[in-house]
Amino acid sequence: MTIDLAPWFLGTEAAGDLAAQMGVPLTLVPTEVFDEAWSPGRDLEAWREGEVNGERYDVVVVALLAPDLVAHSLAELTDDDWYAQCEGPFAQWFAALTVATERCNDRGVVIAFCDRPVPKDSGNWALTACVSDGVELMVRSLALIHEARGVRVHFVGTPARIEGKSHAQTALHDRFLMLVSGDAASMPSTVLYEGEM
Amino acid sequence: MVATPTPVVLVTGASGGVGRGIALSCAAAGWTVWVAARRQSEGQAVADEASARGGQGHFVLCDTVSRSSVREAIATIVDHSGRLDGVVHNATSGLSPTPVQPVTMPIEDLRDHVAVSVRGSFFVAQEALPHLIASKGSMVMLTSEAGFEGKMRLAPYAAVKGAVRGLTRAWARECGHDGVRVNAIAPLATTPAVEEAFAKDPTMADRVLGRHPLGYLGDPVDDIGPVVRFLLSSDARYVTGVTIMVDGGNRPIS
Repeated sequence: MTIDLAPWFLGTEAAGDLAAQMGVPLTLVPTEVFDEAWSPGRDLEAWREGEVNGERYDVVVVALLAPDLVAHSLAELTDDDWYAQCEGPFAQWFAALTVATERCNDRGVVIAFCDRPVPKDSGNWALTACVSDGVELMVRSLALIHEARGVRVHFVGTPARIEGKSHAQTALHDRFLMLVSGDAASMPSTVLYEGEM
Repeated sequence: MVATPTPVVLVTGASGGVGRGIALSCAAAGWTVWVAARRQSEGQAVADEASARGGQGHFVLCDTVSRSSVREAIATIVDHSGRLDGVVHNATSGLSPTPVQPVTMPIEDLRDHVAVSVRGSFFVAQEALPHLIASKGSMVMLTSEAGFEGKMRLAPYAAVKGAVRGLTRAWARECGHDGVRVNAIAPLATTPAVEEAFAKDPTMADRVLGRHPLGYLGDPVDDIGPVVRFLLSSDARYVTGVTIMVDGGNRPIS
């Protein structure tokens, strides 16, 4: 069986260069700033309903990379920061991953690229750690749900952007090429933490 | 010799289930236990049980999705007891045991999961922090086996429990400098929520207990509570940033 390696790419503006490196257009996921009431939630739900039954792909990439990665101490973290950088991205990832897995062909591949601090350096990065661990568990659950169709759902957590590494985008592209290669065809859904043993 | 003050701890979602078990276990050690819940009659009943077991049981009204409610609850505790040594964020969404299809689940339901488990962790941790720094105290968050493995029918629950593990790890790193420890447990216990989940999904009991090493669900008071009490105590003063599986060995990997 051959698969079309050009992915459907769901992401944020910050992932635009990665989509361009893969040679595919970027499909933007709504990223309105959330508040306590989750006011943009209805728009996000409408986006999910509008997208979920579209064309299917062999490979789907989801990369809701944050526009700005900012450290916050627990003592100084504001509620606005919390809603904007934790609860909002959490909901957006949930909607995007749900759409991505539904629109992945049988025996296809979904890859989630997510900013994730290395545990030893995670102090003051609680918001990012919270979202990335939540996304990892979304991926694990969706992998179980779609396992019967042969869909593999991978999570790649990377600290490269948090650490300001210049090779961050290239590293993600390399990881994409590895996960969609024939060598990985028999590899089950998996979780990869970059930057640590 | 300086007498060690009796620990004063707050347990959210303590009107039943695992929260009640934690509260009663701490009370049995003679601690002052504040039972925080939205339902006054059930919460007061647990507080009375705590007093009957040898501790000082108190009820405090607390809705953990509300910043002002958490702030008022902690102010009440500190005003009354003079200190705060430990907080346990146990409250979880009432939707936790409800099987869902993620693709059709209302976003509003996801909000409820996030608000109680994750936002509640933030509010409780931040409001308690100055008092815990003063007492060199600790926090314990409640996660789940689902927050390690994912769940086919409980995806939002698994996601928020994973998120709580991320918060625990990060806060342990930064709060350790102030002498405050942050840990989590992942319990598997007989609770109304688990019983409800078993009732809604008839295959679940076999899936959970069929390969369980010890063959039974833990008791909230006798199996789960003592582990949390240990994490809150000075016996665990060198333990931070960990999630302890209190599941009778059910998790497939360690």
